[in-house]
Amino acid sequence: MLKINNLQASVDGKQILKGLHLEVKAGEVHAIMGPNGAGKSTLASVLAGREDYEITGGSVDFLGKELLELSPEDRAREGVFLAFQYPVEIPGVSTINFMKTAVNEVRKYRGLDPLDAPSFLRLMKEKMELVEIDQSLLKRSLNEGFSGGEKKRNEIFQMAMLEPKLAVLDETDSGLDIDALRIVANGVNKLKTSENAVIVVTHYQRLLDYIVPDFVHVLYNGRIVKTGPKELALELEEKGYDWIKAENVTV
Amino acid sequence: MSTLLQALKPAFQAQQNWIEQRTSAWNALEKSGLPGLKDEEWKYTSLQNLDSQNFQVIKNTTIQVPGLEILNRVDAYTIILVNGELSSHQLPDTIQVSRLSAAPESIQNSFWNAPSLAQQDPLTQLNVAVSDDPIVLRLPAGKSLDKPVHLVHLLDASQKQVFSASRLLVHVEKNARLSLIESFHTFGSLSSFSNNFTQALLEQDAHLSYYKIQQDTGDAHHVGTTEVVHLGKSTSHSVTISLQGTLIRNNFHLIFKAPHSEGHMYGLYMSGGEQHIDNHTIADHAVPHCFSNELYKGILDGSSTGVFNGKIFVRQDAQKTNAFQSNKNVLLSQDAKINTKPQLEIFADDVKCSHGATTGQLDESALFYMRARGIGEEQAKALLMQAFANDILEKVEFDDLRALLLEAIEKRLLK
Ligand SMILES: Nc1ncnc2c1ncn2[C@@H]1O[C@H](COP(=O)(O)OP(=O)(O)OP(=O)(O)O)[C@@H](O)[C@H]1O
Ligand SMILES: [Mg+2]
Repeated sequence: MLKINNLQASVDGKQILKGLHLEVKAGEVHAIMGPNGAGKSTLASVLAGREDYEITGGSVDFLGKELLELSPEDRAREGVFLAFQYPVEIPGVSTINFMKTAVNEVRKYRGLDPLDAPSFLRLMKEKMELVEIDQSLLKRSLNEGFSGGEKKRNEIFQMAMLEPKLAVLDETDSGLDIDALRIVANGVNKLKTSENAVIVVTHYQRLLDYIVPDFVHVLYNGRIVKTGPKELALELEEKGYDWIKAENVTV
Repeated sequence: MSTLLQALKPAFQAQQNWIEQRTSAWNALEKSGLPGLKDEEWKYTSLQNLDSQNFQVIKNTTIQVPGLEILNRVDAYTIILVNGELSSHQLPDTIQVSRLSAAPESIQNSFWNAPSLAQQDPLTQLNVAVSDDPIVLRLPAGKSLDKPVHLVHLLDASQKQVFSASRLLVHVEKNARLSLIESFHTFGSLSSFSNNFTQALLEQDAHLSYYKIQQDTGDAHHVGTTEVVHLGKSTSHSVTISLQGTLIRNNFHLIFKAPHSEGHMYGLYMSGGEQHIDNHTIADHAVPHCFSNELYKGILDGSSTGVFNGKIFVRQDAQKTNAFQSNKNVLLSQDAKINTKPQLEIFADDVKCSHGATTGQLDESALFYMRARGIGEEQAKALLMQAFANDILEKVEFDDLRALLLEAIEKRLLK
């Protein structure tokens, strides 16, 4: 589904991704871990199409298309979803209105008619239940004044609404209390099928107890430097990153 | 003398009433001429282009108004003015409309003696000198209407470049509540210049909601002044929405003459192309315990220019004044420009005043967030702009008017 080949990206002249390889197949769950500043969010943003980053090399194949050549909106319409580490507050636009626009723009791209009001409400109700999010929250301005946990839950709600083929969850677990973590993880699991894939970026094993990864990758200094089974996360939790860093002294 | 004044002099000379007031206004105007960019109040708005055009006062015209959308959609009692002349009206008996010359002397006096901050303004002098017998709208004590009154200014620019001056005097008596809409519409392909002066006097416990809607699709120039005078303890709510027009200068004055009065001023201006929209506002606190609140927002595109000048006067006796002012602008293009200037003159010490002005581009991270959900760039911008404008639109109390404006704005944003 996703083939990242030798991806290199810089921001403001600073090289962040330095030749990154990653392959994700339909049905898989990948975890990406790594120390602060390693480039995890950069990778997520580059996949979503943030224009602040300059792609200096490499390619990203998504379902046979060169992802890097698509606009951010077309990537989303093709089925890429990024749950932001820091969701943006947008005063004056309610989540409901935002989602109605998004869902219908995606449908239009796929040649479908816009959802009428009752169908949209039905869809929304169903997804609200899935991530146990309150309607009153969705009526408010998007993320404005939301607590950290509410913002993250809203990201997963949006993911549920858009049913992406590839979801990249950037530290969706941070800021969630224990119950919310379970709810959010359950939501992700319920949305998981053999047709779609998830990349979870996280610092904690905790999340991976719920969303069990097929692969764990360590991103360090702009590259994937280690890949292993789910047990690798446990090892990292126990030993930290120093041993990885020692193995990968920068030249 | 300027071409404009020369062309309009006959209109002044033809007037039959209020000769004394008109003559003194005209003489002052003739002496000073139209204001230029050296005039502090007209620093950013040039009338030069207007001054050289051959505008004429055109009387006794009737125009057919096929499907003026705002008339069809906004449920209101209407007063129609054509080229500045009162043409027709549909009003309930509750509210009284007359020409000033036909009004009781006490009313005539109360208007000529009304507090005003516009007497020195050359364009107001022009209005006083050449406008028809002013229209007086009087809502008697304790009364209110079930619908707003809509004053529709129609200008016929199909044959000649048309100048129209109209003057409106509104008297909201004790405990009466009035909603008033003024809108402007030019027909024909030539240019128009409307010059209006509206004064509203509010007595004890009166309330006025005032809307100025500028969606004039013609080559329309407008310089208008609205003064809301809180004579008794009263409240006002005003919204000025400027979407279309070649050149617009709105003066809006809130004048507090009775303690514990409250006035809200809101404004939204959207300009594109070569449009120029100027809002000059004054909140004049002369007495204690009054509250003025002001929010103006602007969206500027193309190579349009905007001006916001917000004055707050707190005079010596106006202790315990609360005065707030905010002006926010978004520039959608490199060539769009806004000159924003808050101007606070405070001579009392026990007051709460604040002002702020921001000018920025669209929030890039918000745009990206929306695009990352599949919303196209244009649509995302439009949503952000709508949200920005909505702070003002939600101050429009009438659903039909608000819906009409919202549609106009959406259409504009998704051009
Ligand atoms: N605009 C910028 N200018 C310079 N450096 C930047 C800019 N944006 C990001 N960086 C740097 O890029 C590096 C990678 O950042 P990124 O957010 O991808 O890290 P991360 O792996 O997600 O870290 P964390 O675990 O803390 O979320 C960091 O060193 C960061 O400071
Ligand atoms: Mg990060």
